[in-house]
Amino acid sequence: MHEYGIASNIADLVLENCHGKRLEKVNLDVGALSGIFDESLKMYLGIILEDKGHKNVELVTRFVPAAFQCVCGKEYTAEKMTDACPFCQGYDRKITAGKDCVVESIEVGDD
Amino acid sequence: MTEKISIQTSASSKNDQIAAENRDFFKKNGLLALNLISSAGSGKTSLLEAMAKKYGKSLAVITGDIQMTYDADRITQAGSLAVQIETHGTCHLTAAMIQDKLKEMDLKDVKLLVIENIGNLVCPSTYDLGEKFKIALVSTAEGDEKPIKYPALFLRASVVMVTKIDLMPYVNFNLERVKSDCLKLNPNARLMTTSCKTGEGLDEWYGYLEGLMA
Repeated sequence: MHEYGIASNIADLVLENCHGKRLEKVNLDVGALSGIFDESLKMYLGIILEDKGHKNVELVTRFVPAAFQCVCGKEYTAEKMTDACPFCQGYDRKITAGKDCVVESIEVGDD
Repeated sequence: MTEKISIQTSASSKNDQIAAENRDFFKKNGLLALNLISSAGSGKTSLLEAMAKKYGKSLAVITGDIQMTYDADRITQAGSLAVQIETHGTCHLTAAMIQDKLKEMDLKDVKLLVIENIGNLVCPSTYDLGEKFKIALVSTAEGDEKPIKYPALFLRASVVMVTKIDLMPYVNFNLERVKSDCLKLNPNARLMTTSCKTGEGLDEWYGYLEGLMA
């Protein structure tokens, strides 16, 4: 249910950037490690945007897999945080992608 | 005509900005701020009560619950400043909630500020509140599979404390499994075991904190 708060922030960000034009589409990158359930996020975002006068906005989420930089020097992507480095079987690594939910872009049109 | 506008901004940017302001506030006021996260019932408030008895007025606590002020009352009774946030349904604390509470607290004697998050292993883990680090608690009675089932928290927690260690003989809890799973998620995590009932392990925890406050 924490997707509501995130959706509310996204709505603020989107509306600050659409400069009064008609909002047609929101493109979101949802990281594998972001802890966000995309369907729930879209449901809340749709409700909030509609409430603020933007109906039928297309909400698109793109899944961003988790990427790691291992201390062995190799980079790899993984479905789960508990997957070991496929090169050295170790776990000492930094997350390089997939931690955040990012508002990538919006598409606006003239009325 | 449709126009595409690039935004490239994190959905948590607003929270992160306030968290940065909180971090700045803690630094300016010489406070070590920690974010305590666990399931409901794993012993967060008991640990804070023990800490309140030890540290008195040099400890302050901001504690979050859906409703009621029981936790703040317990900590106040034990000797430290404690303020309650009642979220009325929200499943995590946000940086803005902390910023609001800080305004009403007299922190002049305080060295250590602990934020006791809502009892929940999921939502609180992704919200930065401006803390120095996160501490995850797992009680033996909850079961040893919690870290691997709820990796988001254990990936981010610098300290993992296994609580209610005195109950180990009565529950199925494999401490070695917890250690191995936690180290897979975060090889740099510090693992501790405690019991607020017997006092076991608390001195190690206090020693660790005092090392950071020195």
